[in-house]
Amino acid sequence: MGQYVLRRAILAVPTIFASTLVVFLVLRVLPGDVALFIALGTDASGVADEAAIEAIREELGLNRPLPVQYFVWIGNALRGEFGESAFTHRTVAYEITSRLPLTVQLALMGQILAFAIGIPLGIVSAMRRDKAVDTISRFWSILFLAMPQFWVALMLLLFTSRVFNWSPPLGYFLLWEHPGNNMLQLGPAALVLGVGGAAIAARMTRSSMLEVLGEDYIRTARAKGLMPGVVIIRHALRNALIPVISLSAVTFAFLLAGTVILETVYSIPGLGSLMLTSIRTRDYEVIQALVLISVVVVILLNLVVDIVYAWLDPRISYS
Amino acid sequence: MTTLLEVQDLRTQFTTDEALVKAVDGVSFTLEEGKTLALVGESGCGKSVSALSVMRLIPWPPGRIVSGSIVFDGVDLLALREHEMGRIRGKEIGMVFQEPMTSLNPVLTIGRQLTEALELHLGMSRYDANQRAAELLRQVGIPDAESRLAQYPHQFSGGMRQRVMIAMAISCNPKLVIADEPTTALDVTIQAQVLELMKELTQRLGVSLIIITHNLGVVARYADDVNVMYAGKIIERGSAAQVYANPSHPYTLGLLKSVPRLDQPKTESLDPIQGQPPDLGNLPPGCAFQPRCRYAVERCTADTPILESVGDGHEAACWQIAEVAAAH
Repeated sequence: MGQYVLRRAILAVPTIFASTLVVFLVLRVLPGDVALFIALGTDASGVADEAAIEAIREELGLNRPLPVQYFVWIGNALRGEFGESAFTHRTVAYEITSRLPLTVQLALMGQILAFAIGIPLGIVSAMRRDKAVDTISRFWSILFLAMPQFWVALMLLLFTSRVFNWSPPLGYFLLWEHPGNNMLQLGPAALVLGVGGAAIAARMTRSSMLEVLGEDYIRTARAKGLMPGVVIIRHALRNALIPVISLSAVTFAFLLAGTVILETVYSIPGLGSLMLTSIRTRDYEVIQALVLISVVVVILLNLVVDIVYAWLDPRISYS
Repeated sequence: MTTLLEVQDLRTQFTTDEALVKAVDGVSFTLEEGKTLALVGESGCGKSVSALSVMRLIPWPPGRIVSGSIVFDGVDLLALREHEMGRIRGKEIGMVFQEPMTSLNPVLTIGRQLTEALELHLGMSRYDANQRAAELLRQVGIPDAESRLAQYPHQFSGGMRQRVMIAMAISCNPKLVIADEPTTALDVTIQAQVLELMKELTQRLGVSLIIITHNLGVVARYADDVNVMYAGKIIERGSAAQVYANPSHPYTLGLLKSVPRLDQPKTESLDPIQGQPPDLGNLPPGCAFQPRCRYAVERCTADTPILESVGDGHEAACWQIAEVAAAH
């Protein structure tokens, strides 16, 4: 197992490098110029003086050939230096670490909610196939899959403010600073994320469970006289969750993408809103670091899922 | 001799989009304690459904036991509630299934799959159940039992898995073991071993056995009594000796003639039964075998024959019994 993890870690290196190249080039190809944005100022009141813009480019190193820019960035990144934001002049490391906890918390809460709602719903759905519970659960799953998250988020905001005259408190606190306030702020966004994820998890669990319930070994378990609950929990569930878990790495990546929109809707100062702002202003150093982080997270997640997979299914061996 | 299992006029049906399939249509049989009964017939003749009906493991939907009675050890199984049936399954009646490759749970150890029934039915502690599980594996001839308990099904060969299935079936000292085509999926050499093992164990433990098979060699060697099934009905029954020496239904005769024999000259060609098994959702009127039967007469297309005695405890359902007897 240790060897397997090592091999996977080594294989991840070229993937990460390829992704850095892609993000670097895509950003350079995009129209828009950070030097122009800076010269004009955030409210676009400044004067776009050709010489001033050239000076800013010089300062940011943007007038050097692309390969040089790329290797300078990679070289610094390898030493753990991700540069500084062209706008705030704070280091990228600071920008990210100060926002990271909120996004991590949001994504985790979303994923936990997705599993906590989706998996039981899928199980019940499969056990009561074509009954009212199943029909209702499938209806809601399709509904939440079909509705875009930003819209659900807006509707939830509208609903709570209109009906209960309540909206999430402003001003953000970290979980360990002010738990109650933090939960009230992140709760609605996590709920929207979680319900969307739950819709996917419920559908996958249902179909996987239905397949497993038709297997011969379930009949064997029943022929032993085991109670239906024991048959489901001990014999069916673990088999049924194998595909759900293995796909969860992919769904978690979608969930991460969802935080970008939800952080914007709920004005949560996390990585998602940082990414959106820096893309708008072509703040290269920040975007590059953020994309790099996302890539590493997704790769790590796949590794974790593979390890869980081996634990769930003894037929898989990584030696 | 006491009767252990008495099945009366059992009818099990499946509702499909096209038709009502009468998989088991008025089957009656009895099994004496300590005896071995064989249910014989082609695929789809209702023999497996009969066995699953006794266990009340017919999946609903689409299947349902619509009428009849199944009295096991003085208890009417069809009148039991589901949780009461749970105390019969695995405890009083053990079952061995056809597919050893898929009938064991791939993600649980062999040990766990053996101990769960012991803990449930015999109230054993985890430790005692483990000891007993190892003992069971030794009984079914699996060497190195203790370390095998921690392994998973994919680490066992097909024959070994079927031995595990047998160990599971006998683990709680049942009165009856039902083996549904226990050797069909195995190599020929392994088949004999597994059958010998089952015969030996059931005899030693005094367990009654129902073997479901399409293999007439199995019947001849291991069964006391034989029920031949066709299209959801029993069409001939008797002791194994009677049915072999004196097959009285054209279908039984056809089955026996389809088996290659070493004691016949090589020039003699096989005489298989013509045609296909009938569609159970769309049976012909009269005798279900009549379209394939070379003895069929006018009456066979109109009236359904019922079982009639042709000897001491030997019965067949055919209008042409005399002609069949004269022909062989």
